[in-house]
Amino acid sequence: MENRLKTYREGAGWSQGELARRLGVSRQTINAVETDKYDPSLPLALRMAKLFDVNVPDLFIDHWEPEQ
Amino acid sequence: MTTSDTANIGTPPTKWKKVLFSLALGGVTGFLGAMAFLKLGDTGDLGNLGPSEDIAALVGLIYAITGGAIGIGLILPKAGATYLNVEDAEELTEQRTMLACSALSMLALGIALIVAALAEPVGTIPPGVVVPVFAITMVTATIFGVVSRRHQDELMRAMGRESGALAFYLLALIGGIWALAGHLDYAAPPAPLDWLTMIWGLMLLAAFVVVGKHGQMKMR
Repeated sequence: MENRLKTYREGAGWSQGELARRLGVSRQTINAVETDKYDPSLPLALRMAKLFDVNVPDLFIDHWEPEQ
Repeated sequence: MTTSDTANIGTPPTKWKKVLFSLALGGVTGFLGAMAFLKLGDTGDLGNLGPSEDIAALVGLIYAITGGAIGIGLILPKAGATYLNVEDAEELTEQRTMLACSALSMLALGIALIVAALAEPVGTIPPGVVVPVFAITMVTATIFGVVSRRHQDELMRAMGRESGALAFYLLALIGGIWALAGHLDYAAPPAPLDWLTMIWGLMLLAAFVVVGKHGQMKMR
């Protein structure tokens, strides 16, 4: 799933390691999310959104639209 | 900001020097280990080993060498960071407990399979030694595996679940086809040791596939 994690992280001036430390995950996890190789769990996505003070859909972009 | 802003995120250039160094180091270590084992096998000191025993021991050796390489990397983090897929030595230190337990677990699994491969009557290790060593190493691998898992984050746990499932499907497919061929008398059926080798080998193969799928094979 597309996401803007790297944009927000760099905007905050944090390295992947710093963000990983703040979220309590490994650097690999941050790297995998940023490179779209891993979709985080809902709790982790919520924590990421809370950390950057945004909503989850601001961080993760889902192109799905409900059928009319 | 548009969604197109996200299109180019997180694609750092590949560290070819590190890739080549790691591949060369792994290749040379594996080659030397395999050659040493096969030379030793040729002397007859290990018994009259056949292809099943050779392959089982070599798969066990891969586990043991991998566990050893991670262990050395943890003891010497600066050196470890040059061949392990981490950003820097600090990352190895951050994950020391998890990686140490994982390394010990892999080492124990490798020893278990090697000992099983060298068991009598084909090999030279009597069953009275093989059974307790196999049991102790399996218990050790399980304990360290559980402790390692406790120190893993959600990505690592997810990869563990995925690789376990993939290993099972591969085992059912490959082992199943081989067993059926044996059952129908088209080929020699897999021996008990072959099943062990398939379990160990396919776990490793599945882990590589899953790790690659999640972008963790790309050197950082």
